[in-house]
Amino acid sequence: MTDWLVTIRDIANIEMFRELGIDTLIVADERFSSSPCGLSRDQLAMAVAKIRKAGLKAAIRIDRLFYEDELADLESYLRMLDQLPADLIICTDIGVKQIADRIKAGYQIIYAPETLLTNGYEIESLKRDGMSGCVISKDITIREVYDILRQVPDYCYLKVHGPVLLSYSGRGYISSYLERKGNYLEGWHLVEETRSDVLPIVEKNGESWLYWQTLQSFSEISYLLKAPLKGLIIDNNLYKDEYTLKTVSLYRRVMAGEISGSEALEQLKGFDRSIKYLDINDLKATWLQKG
Amino acid sequence: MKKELLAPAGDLTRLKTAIIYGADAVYFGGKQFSLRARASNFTISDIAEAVQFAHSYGRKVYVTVNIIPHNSDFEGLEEYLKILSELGVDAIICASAAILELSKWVAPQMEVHISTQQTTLNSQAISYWRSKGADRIVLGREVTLRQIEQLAKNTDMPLEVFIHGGMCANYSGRCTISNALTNRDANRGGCAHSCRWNYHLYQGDQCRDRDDYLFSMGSRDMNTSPIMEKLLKTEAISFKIEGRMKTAFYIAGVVKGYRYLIDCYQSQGFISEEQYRTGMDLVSLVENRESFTGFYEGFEGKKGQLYSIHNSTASQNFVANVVSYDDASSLAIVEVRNHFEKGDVLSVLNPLGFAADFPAQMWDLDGNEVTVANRPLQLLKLKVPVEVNEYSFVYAPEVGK
Repeated sequence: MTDWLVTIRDIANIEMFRELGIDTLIVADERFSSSPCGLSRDQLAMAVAKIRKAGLKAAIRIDRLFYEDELADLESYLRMLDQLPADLIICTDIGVKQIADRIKAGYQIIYAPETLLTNGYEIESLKRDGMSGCVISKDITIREVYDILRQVPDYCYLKVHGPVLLSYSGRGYISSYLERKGNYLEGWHLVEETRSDVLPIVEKNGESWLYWQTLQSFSEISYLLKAPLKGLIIDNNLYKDEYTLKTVSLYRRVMAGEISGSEALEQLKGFDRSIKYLDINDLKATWLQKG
Repeated sequence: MKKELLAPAGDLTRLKTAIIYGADAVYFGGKQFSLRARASNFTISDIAEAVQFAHSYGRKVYVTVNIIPHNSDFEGLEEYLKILSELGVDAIICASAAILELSKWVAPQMEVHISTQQTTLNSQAISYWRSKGADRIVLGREVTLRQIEQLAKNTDMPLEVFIHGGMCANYSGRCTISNALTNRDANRGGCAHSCRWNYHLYQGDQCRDRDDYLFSMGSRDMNTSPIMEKLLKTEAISFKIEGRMKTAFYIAGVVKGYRYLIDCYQSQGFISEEQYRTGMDLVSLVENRESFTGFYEGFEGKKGQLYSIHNSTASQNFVANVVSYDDASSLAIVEVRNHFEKGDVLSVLNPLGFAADFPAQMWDLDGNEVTVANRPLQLLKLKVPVEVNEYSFVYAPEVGK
């Protein structure tokens, strides 16, 4: 049985996600995540408690890389999450697992470095090291994804919906350009001077995340659900819950055979005309690894 | 503790140049499994010659196997690693736990260094690589001097840091802009440097472009020659120059400059103002892009960014390679690379020492005087008042200033 992991912004919506059959809700704090709408520690504790009370699992997004002078605070945060208790940690820095092991935290650790898990051998190695699961990188073909799933069954997660993260930087791009320090969280985007692609950008605490179009997998979802995946992720961290709820409900209708993948996509486009979509097959086919 | 100066090599000529000018170790990629797909890269027989040459000078050879591999990339990798080990390669530089494990299995005596493609920034991440058997960590270029000092207290892993050359704008290995905008896979050697392009910045529907220049993510190059003493005081043991695509002239100048600064520090425990000037002049002689000292003293926003891709001034100051030198006549046979004329002020970048400027006087191989050298690859006799050799470069110090 494949788990569904979905981002949530407002804990008032937990029940609606539960009714849609979601297994795990992903929340994030202000400091240790890329999320433009991270929660305070108190809000996070409340969110975890409510998610668990609703019978769902609470996953915490910790998708930053950490510097040495942040480790003490990171360890304190990981201890707090263990006490809540959170069920899963989705992390980008391999050091998070080392700390979690040392403090004997009870939650599972899912490694999601975005670009570095492009082969099954890497993932087998992490499994041997005791990592609870891995999110397969986006920059490989769908055929390679299925090959990895055959090689390491029932262990991997795959992002099926949400803005594609293109890059993560230790530089505050917008504040450097505008020469004005601050956080630039929502509504900012870039357009290359000779192209039309809209690239959403988030700057937070001196780091930047650049995104591309929004990945969608309506036409592939039935196949993916037959593959030995541990979990599917809808990561709409740039969008409000109303959009994510609509997204989930459309996947459910496709899975139930009520509408086709293309009908689902048209309905979602109608929900917000400003969002540009990329089919998971196109994404994988586009990244041709020409080298 | 001896500090290692580690230099890049795009081919055998540049490798030999780096060693002759004082690199303690050199790194390069093979034909497969390496980033920098557009560098010449080394065949197996090149690698054999490189190892033999470097070891004859007591220097080390590291081979980059730093792609982020897909399943299909593993074909032939085991055999390749065995060959590298048999040839005497001292270490591979990789960015993959799977490649690390494979290398330790087939060639346990060959060191494995973890590439900056992993962007390792803290001692907990290092402890993971330690548990996998890694022998050295190349730190992410975003760490500060203070963080290196803190980090070194919490690990016994040998640390390598970058000191010079191009910088990824994003955390290395965590960027796929090139994949998306050009279909070229950045993590398999195809980076198109799309970060350096110009972009319009919007907040909602409102364009927020400045009047003077467009938005860019591009980074200035790193040049730490002004703060080398501070870097040498850290626990880092290896100091790496980036630039496998750079020319032999560039390698010679940068290696000589940093060699000089490191030697000054190691012999007397500090670098004087005059010594700094000498070392920095050597580095800037061959450097033609805007630079900054990286993140080591804290990132200074705009000062680290490159807001116009057209702002590097092409350096034409390198005018000729030395082919041979006759001590008795003080005549060097040189191969012309850029235009110069009789009477122009020339100098030499020389592994045999430092040289003063001299006026150009040259003849063709038949002894006829030449007043203008403007045919690339033409061989000429040039009067050079100091001993030079085939690793020396003739340049015009006033050009480009």
